[in-house]
Amino acid sequence: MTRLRSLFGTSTIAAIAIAFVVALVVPMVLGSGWVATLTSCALYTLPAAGVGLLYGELRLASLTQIAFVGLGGWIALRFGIGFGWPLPVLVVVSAAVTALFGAALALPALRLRDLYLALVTLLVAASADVAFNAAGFPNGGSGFLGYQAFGDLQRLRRPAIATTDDGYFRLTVAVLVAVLLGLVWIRRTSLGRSWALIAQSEGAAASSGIRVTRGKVVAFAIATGTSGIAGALMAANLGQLAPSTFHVSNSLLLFALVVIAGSRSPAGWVIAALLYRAVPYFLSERGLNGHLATMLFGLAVMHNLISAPAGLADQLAGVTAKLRTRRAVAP
Amino acid sequence: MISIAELSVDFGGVRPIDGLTVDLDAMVHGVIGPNGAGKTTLLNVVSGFTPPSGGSIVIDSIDVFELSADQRARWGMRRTFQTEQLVDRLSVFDNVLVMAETSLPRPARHDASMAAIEFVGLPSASVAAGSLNSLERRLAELARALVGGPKVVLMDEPASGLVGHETEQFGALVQRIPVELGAQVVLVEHDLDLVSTVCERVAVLDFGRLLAQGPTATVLAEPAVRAAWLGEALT
Ligand SMILES: Nc1ncnc2c1ncn2[C@@H]1O[C@H](COP(=O)(O)OP(=O)(O)OP(=O)(O)O)[C@@H](O)[C@H]1O
Ligand SMILES: [Mg+2]
Repeated sequence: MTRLRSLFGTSTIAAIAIAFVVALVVPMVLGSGWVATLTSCALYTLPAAGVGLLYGELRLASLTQIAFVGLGGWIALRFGIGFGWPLPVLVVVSAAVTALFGAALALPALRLRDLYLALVTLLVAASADVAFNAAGFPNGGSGFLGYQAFGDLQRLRRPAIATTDDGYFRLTVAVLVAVLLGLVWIRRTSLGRSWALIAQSEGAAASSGIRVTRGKVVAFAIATGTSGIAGALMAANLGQLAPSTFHVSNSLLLFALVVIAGSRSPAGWVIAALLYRAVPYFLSERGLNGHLATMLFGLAVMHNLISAPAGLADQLAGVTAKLRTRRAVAP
Repeated sequence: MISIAELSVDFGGVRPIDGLTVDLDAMVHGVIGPNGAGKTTLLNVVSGFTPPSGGSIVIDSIDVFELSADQRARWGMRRTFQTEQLVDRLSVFDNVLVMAETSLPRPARHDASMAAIEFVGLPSASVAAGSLNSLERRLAELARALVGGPKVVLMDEPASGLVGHETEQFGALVQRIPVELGAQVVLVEHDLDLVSTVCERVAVLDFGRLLAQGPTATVLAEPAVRAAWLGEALT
């Protein structure tokens, strides 16, 4: 326990405990619609974490994260349906292949700066969009693409330990916690410190012996690999995938939400995913148009730029800190 | 020793370094000159951030242009910046550790980082760099430059932002670097008192060219230097 605490800090252990309680209690008290929505939130926390890693650590704006979820999903469907590989293998393969794609994209893209990098990643997301629409997602067809428009449409099956919606929600939360712990840990390694210095000044980083390009490419690979994990889990959750899920506008929206919610903290990534999936669901459940959410997010971006540049998660942390000191002062 | 020969830098028409030939041959060597003389540009070329348009730089029989900036740093060429570059949210220790992680094997990193922090005289390694005052920030940046076997330490106006007694303290530290760590120091500085105290020799740049070089006291007494550098009229 003391080793755990020294590795991650008290707040992280509290977060793990909260995740454990959420995984346990949510399926008991909420209906199936909400369980499905929150599973989706847990899945989208992964690409949100990727966006957060790149933007929060390195100020790199990547607008392709959802496209990489799609790529991970495609790979999982292809090997899962085509060859019957089990989910753990699919997750690892999806993560590895999307990480390679991410690194391959990063090498040329990182020569560009700020706005141009963002535009290039946006174009890549748009191309992926076109590719998904043209190729479709594997569903038991023949050939390399494994897609068929008619016939015996096959689905990827969930693993035996999590066949129910409730079980799959718990599995997703468990994987999410493991990945987030990994990311938090990486920030404390020499790689994380090199990112901090690169973000401060590439000149200072290079003059400290850091290979700047390599540091950024590795960050891209980690961020896209994280999206790949989400894709594989999503494919197994739903059985089939549709191109519209990975529309280029979704990558843009997720990026904006991560910036609103706080790119440097895992709480911010979770909040971003809740805004992305749970808020529209909440609105539509009440008979309101889910797209209303997008307008609210627009206002939130403005609010954020004016009053909370470190994000909602940071503001919430500020509120709890204030409450804590107030309680300490009160007799 | 740093041997610079026929070095030029072009920024599309502007020539901040213009055919500079000079041997920086003292263990603490000063480089002075008026604003815009090309001092920072010179450090940038030596450390690998600005490509030269011609000429050569040889240090200890190594042609530095064969190495990238990060390779030069790992080899032992270190520098500090005109505006110091620390990561505020990292601790002093972590800021220094970064350099150890690129230039030392894992088991040696911790002790070497602590030794560098002790060498510069910072009282605490665990405080966040953001909480340091301007002298402490300069010291922490210097500690990072000194970790893991430095061979050449380039400093760009380290005394700017420091007050009198702080500058003295910093100067005493600079003099210890060649003696205790065996590294050569190149000091770009406007503060002539500091330069006179710590630099055995000094080179004067003006418009990217060498105006004078020699023992510090002699050079600072030259009328041409005083004219260019202090704006004094030649008499
Ligand atoms: N990236 C650049 N592009 C174009 N011109 C530049 C660039 N960097 C520096 N210069 C010009 O080169 C000349 C030398 O600049 P440099 O910063 O090397 O001077 P300096 O001696 O360090 O001056 P100071 O004492 O003010 O720090 C100046 O005229 C400056 O305007
Ligand atoms: Mg300068």
